[in-house]
Amino acid sequence: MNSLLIDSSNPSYDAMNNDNLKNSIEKNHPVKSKVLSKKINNVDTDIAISSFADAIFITISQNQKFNTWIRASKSDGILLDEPSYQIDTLLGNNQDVLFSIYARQLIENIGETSNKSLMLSISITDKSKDTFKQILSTIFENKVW
Amino acid sequence: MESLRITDDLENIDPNIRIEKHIDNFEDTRIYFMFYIFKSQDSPIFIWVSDSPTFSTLSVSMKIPIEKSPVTSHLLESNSITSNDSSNSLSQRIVIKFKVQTFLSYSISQDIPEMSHFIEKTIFDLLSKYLKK
Repeated sequence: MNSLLIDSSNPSYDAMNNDNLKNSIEKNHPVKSKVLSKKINNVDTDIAISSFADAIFITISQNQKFNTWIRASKSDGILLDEPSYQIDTLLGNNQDVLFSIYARQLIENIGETSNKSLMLSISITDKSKDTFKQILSTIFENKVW
Repeated sequence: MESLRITDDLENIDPNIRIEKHIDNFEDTRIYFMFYIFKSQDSPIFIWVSDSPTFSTLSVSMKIPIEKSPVTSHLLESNSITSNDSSNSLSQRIVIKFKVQTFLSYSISQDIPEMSHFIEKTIFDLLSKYLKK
């Protein structure tokens, strides 16, 4: 059965085994994730999205930090048919309205199809309107919810 | 209609963040791990460890100049005191060993010291490997 022997000293087999192991973990892991890295308005922008059973965790980072953490959730409106949204800054800058707007846009979109809450870590250096639109459209094109 | 234009030709770049996942078993309990690691060694790390696929706790630990031990703050509390206690000591030890600001989401339903040790050892082994890359 010599032909079935695998030479484990061969680095290509190690790489193949690592890939197989990674694929197997990814398949069996209950949290599904995506990483998207793009140059937006000439700024390196990393976006990571993970879907938990009860929450969507989104990281938006332009400086390899997590900086501001925001939690947002949707609940049914009491008097009106419109849902209401709660947005809380857990850590970081709670004075910058832009971060709340990011959270609000994201939880509204998540809330259209699921009851999951949003955990957002955001650390952006470019606060322009164009970047805001491009980051959100990148996330909405790559939903995991 | 320039303001409504959605750009679809954004240049993809090498990611500065990667997500590493791991699954392990302690006796009959399956434990899931996930790590967010930035390229820069000065960047913070995020670790999620749980026996269920929920995001129910979050704490941050870091070294500050006036304190000998790392300080920890709970940003999202679990109903389980056990998880908070275990999370506290674990994240502090990660900061001491790896000298990196650590965000930790730790949610394990059982309070078994051996399991906590197993989780800590697994995280240390994995982080040693991941942070070397």
